[in-house]
Amino acid sequence: MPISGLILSLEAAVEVDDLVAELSQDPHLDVGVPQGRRLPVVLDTTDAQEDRQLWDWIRERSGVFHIDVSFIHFDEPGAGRSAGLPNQENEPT
Amino acid sequence: MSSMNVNRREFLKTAAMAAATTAAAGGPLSLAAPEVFAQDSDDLTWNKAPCRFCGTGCHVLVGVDKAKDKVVAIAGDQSADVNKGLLCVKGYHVGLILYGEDRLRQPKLRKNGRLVPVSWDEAIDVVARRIHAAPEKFAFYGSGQWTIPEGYAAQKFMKGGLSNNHIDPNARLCMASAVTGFLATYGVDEPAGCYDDLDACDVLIMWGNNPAEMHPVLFSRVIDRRSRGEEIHLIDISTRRTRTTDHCQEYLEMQPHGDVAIALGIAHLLIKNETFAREFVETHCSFRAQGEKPGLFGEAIDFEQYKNSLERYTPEYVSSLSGVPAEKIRMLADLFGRRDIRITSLWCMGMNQHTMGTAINCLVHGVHLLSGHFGRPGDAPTSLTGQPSACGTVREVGTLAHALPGGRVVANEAHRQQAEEFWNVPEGRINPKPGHHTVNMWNQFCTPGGDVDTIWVQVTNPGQTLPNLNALFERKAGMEDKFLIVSEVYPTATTELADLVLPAALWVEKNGVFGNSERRTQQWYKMVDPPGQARDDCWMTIAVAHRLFELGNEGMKDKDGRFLFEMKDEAGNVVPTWEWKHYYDMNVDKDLFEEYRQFTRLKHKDLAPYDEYVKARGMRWPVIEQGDGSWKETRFRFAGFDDTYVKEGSDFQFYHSTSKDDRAQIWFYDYEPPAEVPDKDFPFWMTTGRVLEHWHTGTMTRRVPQLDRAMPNSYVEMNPEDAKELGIRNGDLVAVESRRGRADLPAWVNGRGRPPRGTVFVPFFDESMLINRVTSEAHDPFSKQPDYKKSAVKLSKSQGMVP
Repeated sequence: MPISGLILSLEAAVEVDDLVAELSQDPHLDVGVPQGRRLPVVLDTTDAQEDRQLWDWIRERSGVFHIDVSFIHFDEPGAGRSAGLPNQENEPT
Repeated sequence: MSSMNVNRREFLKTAAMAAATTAAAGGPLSLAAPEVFAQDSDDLTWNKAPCRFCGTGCHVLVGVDKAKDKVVAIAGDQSADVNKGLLCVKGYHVGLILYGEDRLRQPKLRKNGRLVPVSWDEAIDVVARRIHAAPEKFAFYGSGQWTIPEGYAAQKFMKGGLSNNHIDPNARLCMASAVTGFLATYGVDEPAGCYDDLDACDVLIMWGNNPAEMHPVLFSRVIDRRSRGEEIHLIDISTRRTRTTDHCQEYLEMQPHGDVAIALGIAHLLIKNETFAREFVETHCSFRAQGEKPGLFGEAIDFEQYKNSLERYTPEYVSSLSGVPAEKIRMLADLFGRRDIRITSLWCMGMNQHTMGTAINCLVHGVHLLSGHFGRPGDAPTSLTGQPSACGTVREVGTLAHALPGGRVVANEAHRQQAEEFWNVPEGRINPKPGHHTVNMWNQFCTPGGDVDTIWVQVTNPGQTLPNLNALFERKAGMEDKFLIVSEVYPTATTELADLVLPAALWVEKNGVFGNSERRTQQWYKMVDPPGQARDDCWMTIAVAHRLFELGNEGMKDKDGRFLFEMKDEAGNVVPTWEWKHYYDMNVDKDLFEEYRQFTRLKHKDLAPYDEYVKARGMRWPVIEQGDGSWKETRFRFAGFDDTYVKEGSDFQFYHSTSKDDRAQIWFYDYEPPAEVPDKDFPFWMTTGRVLEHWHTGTMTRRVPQLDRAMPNSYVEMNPEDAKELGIRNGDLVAVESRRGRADLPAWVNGRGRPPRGTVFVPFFDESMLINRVTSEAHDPFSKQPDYKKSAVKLSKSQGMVP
């Protein structure tokens, strides 16, 4: 259930209003008030895959040349990967 | 939807939008920090901490679910000057490093070849008795990830307690040559400038440095200037194209060790063209050349000798040594010869992991001094660090085999006496002989009969990072007389050979203080409990010290017979901090920090009281108390307009000059070839390094699914022509072999980086493909830092399977 706060850096030539309108069509995306050539947005998605897809979609929008991150929330951390070595913690005793 | 209620989700979205809007508006300079982070919700609290990863020192706001006692959100800290609300891909996932499923939760002792659970009491007793039996054979191997109090406690334990100087950090492997470069040039360590230089420079030269991946927030800070319409000229001097190169106007592809020749070539032209800053040099600089033995002082030379030494480093000769065209050497010299622009140099491992590491550091400082591109905002030679407290803990606390806190050294009698006084230990307690540096320490440990038989590793992973692992680490296997103690958070290549594993608290599971690359000291508080029986590294050190005290070890007593780490609460009562249940009855970090603070004034690295750092997002030393009781940090050392310690009326004063005349030293070093060069048997250069997604050995970032998926395994990056000639296609498994060892990795052709023909690059984050079995332990003769960037290897298509 990720929530991300992003800052989109916009190319000089982009029509900001048009881009805001395009982005605002996605129900998982809240678009903030443009700050010059920077646009704050919030992504509210159901899982990491959807988050990734939305991120990629934003990156492909014409006029977006860079994305920075300022906030991330992970409700159920769910990290949990073990690295490549045998798990010593679970080693039989 | 999870159990999270709608109100909380709306609160989090409000916080996310506030963070993004503030950062988009330019951070705290143009907008107040969002109030949302100052207000805890019913179930969420926010607090500040520096990021756990690199030496940039970004601040994050950490959101903790109080009911779950878990970190659940991370925001860039808008109040932090360093990152102004932004984070890199690692930084915004930093909270997840706490929650890998294989966190170590219980002490384990190897019995009959297996690690079996033991109690903390038994574990502490085992460590203490091992040390008590032969304190002179014990070594402590630490880290630039030690917090300042952790490193200080270890330092005091070893040098003030055991009279043993065998303490060295992993930072020996990453920035020791930067230290010797600063010391030899200015007489005192660490950069004179700061990150503000990145906001003011007209030209940024990256010497073997890839900040787009290794220090991405700093690089974004530079690139952001372009997006605001500012002109900034970026020059990448490197042995391979990287993501940094893509943003640069100039890419100068050099041969390994070419940087030494390039710096000499710039100096040659500055003098030949008479474009050097004559007045600055005559007023503020002296000249030095390497002496018979490597060292801090070399031999004094005059300007004519310096000029004559440089005579042969013509652009054409430099081109033949470096591979960089002569006209590009002239271009660099012309830039340095201009007075109307400001130039910042950045470097990190490329210049430090170098058998001429001290030399190239000194030479780049020398180019800046000779040209006068020093000490004004934007004019700075600045090294970056890879670990969050390589500066704060290693360089300032001095957790090195030759050092004492605050820039002191064990070989100096007066320094020893000062330390003994601060620690209230008997005169003569501190051993005057430097201990083993990292390569020697592990060599002795892995040699039968070597004079180190027990090593305690804290907060680092030498089983993956030491060079020539077969010789310096893996030979330990089966040596009955050797005992390896490892404090860790996850199973690693180091715990594989450990005889005792101690589960450690990580990041915001404990109090801490870090010191970043720009002299900024940063404090945070514990926010969540560590899992299982994991405990603070600092507690472990104090607990072992107290067990030794109970065993009658004289070193654990001060000269009044009291415990070396005796601490009292505000009422004056001794708090038994060696007992875990009482460790957080007081703020041990604050106690140790205030004691350490006394050491910081000798070299004008003054720190403010602990409580001042609680209020701030870090402060850059020297921090000076003002008449009104406030504390002022210093952005530009040695510069009269900003540094309180410069004599009034002086524009510059190098007040720790090794020549005792307030002058910085401009050094001459002759070019020398690398320790190992490709030949017919091992025809390729191999260089190693890091990637954007993983931090160092990947023990933390590889537990974060998002980062692991983005970069799941290591690889060997190849030039397409080399791959074609060897019949290697993208993804094929390739055997990379040197005279020391072999690693098998999938090929990546036309990948993220683009090495020239004859060069391959391999990241070192992957413990399943240990590239440091291949690297060389050849090291700089003064800094003792190994050269991971230049190994001769051969390549062949492997018969194994790609993992």
